[in-house]
Amino acid sequence: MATKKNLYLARIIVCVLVISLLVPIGARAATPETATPYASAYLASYTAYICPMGDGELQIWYRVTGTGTWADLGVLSIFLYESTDSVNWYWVKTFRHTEYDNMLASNEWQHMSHVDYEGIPGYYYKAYVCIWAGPEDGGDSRYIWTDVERCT
Amino acid sequence: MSEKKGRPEYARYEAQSTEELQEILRKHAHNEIQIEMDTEELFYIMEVLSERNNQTPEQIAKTTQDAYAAFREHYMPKENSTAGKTTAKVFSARWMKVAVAAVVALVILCVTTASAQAFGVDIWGRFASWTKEIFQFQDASQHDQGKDPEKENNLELKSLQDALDQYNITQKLIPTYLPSGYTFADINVFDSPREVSVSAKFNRENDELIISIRQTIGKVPEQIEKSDKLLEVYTIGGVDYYIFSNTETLQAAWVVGEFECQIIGKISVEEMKEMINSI
Repeated sequence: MATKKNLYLARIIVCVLVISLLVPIGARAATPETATPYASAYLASYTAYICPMGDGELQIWYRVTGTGTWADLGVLSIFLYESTDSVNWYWVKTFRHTEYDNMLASNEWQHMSHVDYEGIPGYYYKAYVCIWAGPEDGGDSRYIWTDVERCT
Repeated sequence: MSEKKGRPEYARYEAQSTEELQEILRKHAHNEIQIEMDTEELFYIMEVLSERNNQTPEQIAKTTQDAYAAFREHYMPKENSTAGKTTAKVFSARWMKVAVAAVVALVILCVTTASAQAFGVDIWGRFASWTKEIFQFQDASQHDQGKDPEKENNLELKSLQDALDQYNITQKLIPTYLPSGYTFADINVFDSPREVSVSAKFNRENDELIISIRQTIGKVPEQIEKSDKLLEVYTIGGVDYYIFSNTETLQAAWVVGEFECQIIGKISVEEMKEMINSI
């Protein structure tokens, strides 16, 4: 009986060891190093986030770093969404760089600024931000969501 | 929040190339399109582009809060649980199975980690994460209190170190070596309630080299563009420097404490390593 139990345990240990050896091989095969290339000749890094400032004031910040100096660098559009429950979202405002001078910089290699919105304390907000960098005759865009923030 | 559902009138955008769609967005943002496009139409285009990038808005919008809510729902103990009530079978057979499963899982984890290291995959060392298109450091801190807001400003500083000194940043974060021919050109210092960003640009004829240091307060996820291949994780002084390419430029990213640092430029891997060695 004891031998049978030991044999059973040995089988489990062997299975565990085999799985442990196979998992990293699979993980290595699945690393992004084998994935499709996707990069930007114009954009190096970027971020966007919402800062609740109190009394309902929201600041939507963005920072864009180019791979070099470009004719246009920054964000083209910001779509702001509002929610009472963080589940059902409603579009409330679009910020466009043609209306806000500080959204898109000219002949810069890095740009950081913010736009403001009067929110409702207790409501949730998130924004869909169109990042842009490029020369006058082209460029590259990326679309990122900010994290959800609760207005204070 | 798919904007594509039920909008067959916009289906024509599916047939257009990525470049054409990006050009539409650019022209719209520049007011170069005479016909006013509504928000849903813009979102349709954005969604098409997002899907082509294999990065749907829903995926992007999956927030930490969502994950935390799911974690709380499924794993956190309920407040009105029967804590304190004793049962006769404290260590029942069912719990024994759970304990055995936990031990087996722990063994798998330990052996997997060890064998992964043997295969060159440093599981524990990589707090940084990357997809096929971007690179970013995971947020290690969850504290989210902001400091007093300050307007962004541009200081005419002579060097990156001067800027760091102004913020009493004493850590050694800046390379002292620059590849041959590069000279100081410009510096940016930005403040927001969540981060301080100090960056300097150096020029060499038509090439540009950027060194960027940022100190974050709370969660400020930055996305770094990259080509598919992580060239190397270069470790020196206990710090992992992630070196990767982004089309024609080479980038390095690393974290020291609360500081996230980057070097971006058209330089060789050897020059990048030499810069890193000089920090």
